[in-house]
Amino acid sequence: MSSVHIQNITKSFGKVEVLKDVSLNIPDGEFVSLVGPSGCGKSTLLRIIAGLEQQSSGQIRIDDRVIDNVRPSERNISMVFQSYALYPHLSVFDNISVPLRMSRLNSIQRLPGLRHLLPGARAVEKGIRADVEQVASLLDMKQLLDRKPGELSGGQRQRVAVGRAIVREPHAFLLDEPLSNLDAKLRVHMRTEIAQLHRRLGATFIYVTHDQAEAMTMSDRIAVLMDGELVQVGSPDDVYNEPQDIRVAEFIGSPRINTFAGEIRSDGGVDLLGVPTGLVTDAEAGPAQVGLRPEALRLVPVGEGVFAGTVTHIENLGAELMVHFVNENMERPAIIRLDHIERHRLDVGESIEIDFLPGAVRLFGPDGARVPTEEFMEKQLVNA
Amino acid sequence: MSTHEAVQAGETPSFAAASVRARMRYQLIATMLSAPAIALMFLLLIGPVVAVLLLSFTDWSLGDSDFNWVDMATYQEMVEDDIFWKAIANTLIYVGIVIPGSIILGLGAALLIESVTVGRSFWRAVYFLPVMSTLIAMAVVWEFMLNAKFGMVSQVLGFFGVEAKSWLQEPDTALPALCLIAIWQALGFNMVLFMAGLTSIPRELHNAAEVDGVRSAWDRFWLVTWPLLTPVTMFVAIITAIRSFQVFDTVHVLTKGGPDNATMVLVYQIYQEGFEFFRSSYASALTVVFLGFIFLLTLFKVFVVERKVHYQ
Repeated sequence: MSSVHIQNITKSFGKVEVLKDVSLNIPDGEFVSLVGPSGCGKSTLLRIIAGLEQQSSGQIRIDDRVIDNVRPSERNISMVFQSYALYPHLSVFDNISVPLRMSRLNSIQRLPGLRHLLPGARAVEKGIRADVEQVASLLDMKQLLDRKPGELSGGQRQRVAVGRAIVREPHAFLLDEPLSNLDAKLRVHMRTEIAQLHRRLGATFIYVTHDQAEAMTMSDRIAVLMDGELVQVGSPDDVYNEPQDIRVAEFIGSPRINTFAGEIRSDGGVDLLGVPTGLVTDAEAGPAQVGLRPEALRLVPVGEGVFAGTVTHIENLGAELMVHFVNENMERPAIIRLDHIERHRLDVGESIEIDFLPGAVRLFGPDGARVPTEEFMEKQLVNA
Repeated sequence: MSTHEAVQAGETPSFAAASVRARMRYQLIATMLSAPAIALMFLLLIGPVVAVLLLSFTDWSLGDSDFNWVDMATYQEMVEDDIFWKAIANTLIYVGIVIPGSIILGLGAALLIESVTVGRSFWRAVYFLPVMSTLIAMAVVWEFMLNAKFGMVSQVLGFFGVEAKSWLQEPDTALPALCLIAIWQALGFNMVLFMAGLTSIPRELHNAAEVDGVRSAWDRFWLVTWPLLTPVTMFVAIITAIRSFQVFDTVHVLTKGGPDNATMVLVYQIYQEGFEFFRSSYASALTVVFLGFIFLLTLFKVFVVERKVHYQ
């Protein structure tokens, strides 16, 4: 197992720049998710690491070895493809044994039919069988070894693809949206399975997904890519609680963060929809955006709220309730997350009042970058 | 009403009678609607075959006003006819050379053209030219090329010290020369089919092979390309086989079955017996044998190819 270092990678297809100066160091044994909306360049970055695509500039290293001009087959990196890319004419056993046969048999022994005849090949083949069976039992699919991919369900195919990736001991595992072809229930299940597999193998995993929930639940660190740029890298908690860019804040978390029109006053105070928030900042005065997660908003009795709104829609998720509301100053409805116990108090069309903790506010400047804030009370105390 | 309900309703006698009547009417309408198609099929497809089969049991010649049933006499004559066996042997040799020749070269051309980045459509057009041209016209060109004195083939071979020959007039080179022309002509067509097959192989499979440690084009061919081309290859083989069994035009233009029956093939013998010697019954018997071969090929296609080579 090895560390992977990505240094100043850029990639252009003709005039389109898909990756702009991306750098990321992935220590040995880490599970990193590359997450971002479709077209942000995350799959391209993964294919560059695998060697299936050549970067326009920059460097990739595995441990201390530069691999820029090394062919994919020589990089010892395994990959799980979105389409699984199983060999349709080979049984599950043969599919999983391909990487082993390629490395352990010579080109004559690999010829169809000969590996069962040549005495040297037969011994190697025995070792391969043992290794494949071990992987099969690890992934709980021993009974599938004789089947063809065409006879398997989506989840089983995905498992075979994972088996083919882990059967040898590669420097790193690359996974390109491996769960996107599965149904919702299976996806949640496989999420857990892959995370457990990572814990058991202790290997370096680089996982590409557009699903922020997958990234949040499985990763040690999340790297958020937007329009070819690496916007933020951090632990799931970090990325969720301290987004450094409004795009990150909006991409991570479901339902997505509420953003309100705000303003930084000339005295440093921060207003939200014209109402003071109790926060101050050193940033330049002018328009800004205020982000508040749905769970940061609180429903309060009439007369106590910071601002008011009208309920437009209620999503009942059983354990919790997503209440959509709007008022005349808001460009689009905001969402407040309520515990199930508060359910019967509300109806569509009802007026509500909202409050929030100043500490939960995330302020973003006009360019989308995070603006640091302090709570007014503390500042006052410091000044006094 | 669902089928299940209909069956249940059928348990009471009065309903049963009604449903039988309804079913018969349904059958009648179905038969009437398909009758024109069935009639045409018998008239145009099955009819001629049956006519040929019946004709082969007579002694009828083209132009005769009367005929006699002779049972198996025509077939008896055929089995004792040396030219017939020569024609069968030549046809099988011809098919046996043209199928692998045009498949291997067609696949090779397709792989080479796929691998170049510049001028792909130019090469495709060049290889496809013989398919689009008329073989009879091109046969004339080949006749010149294979000419002993000024033919290009003889001159090039002469450069390497091979003695010039009238390739089409020598008993031991005439059939191989015809095979060469057939391969030249079929190659482009097979290449186009293989190219279509190659583009249908998912790119991710080649990527997966690369990541799995496949280093050489040789390994990639055996692991991915060749197995995934099997359905196309089978199709190409069947098409080429049927076309090769039907070989006639080059034989007729270039050799007329000679020299000394060295290029006598089944269809050419049918033509000679039927339209030069006017022995219609004998030609019919030969046609029955020919149809037998085609029928075997079709059976092979239905029972082996279509069942075994599809993966999904």
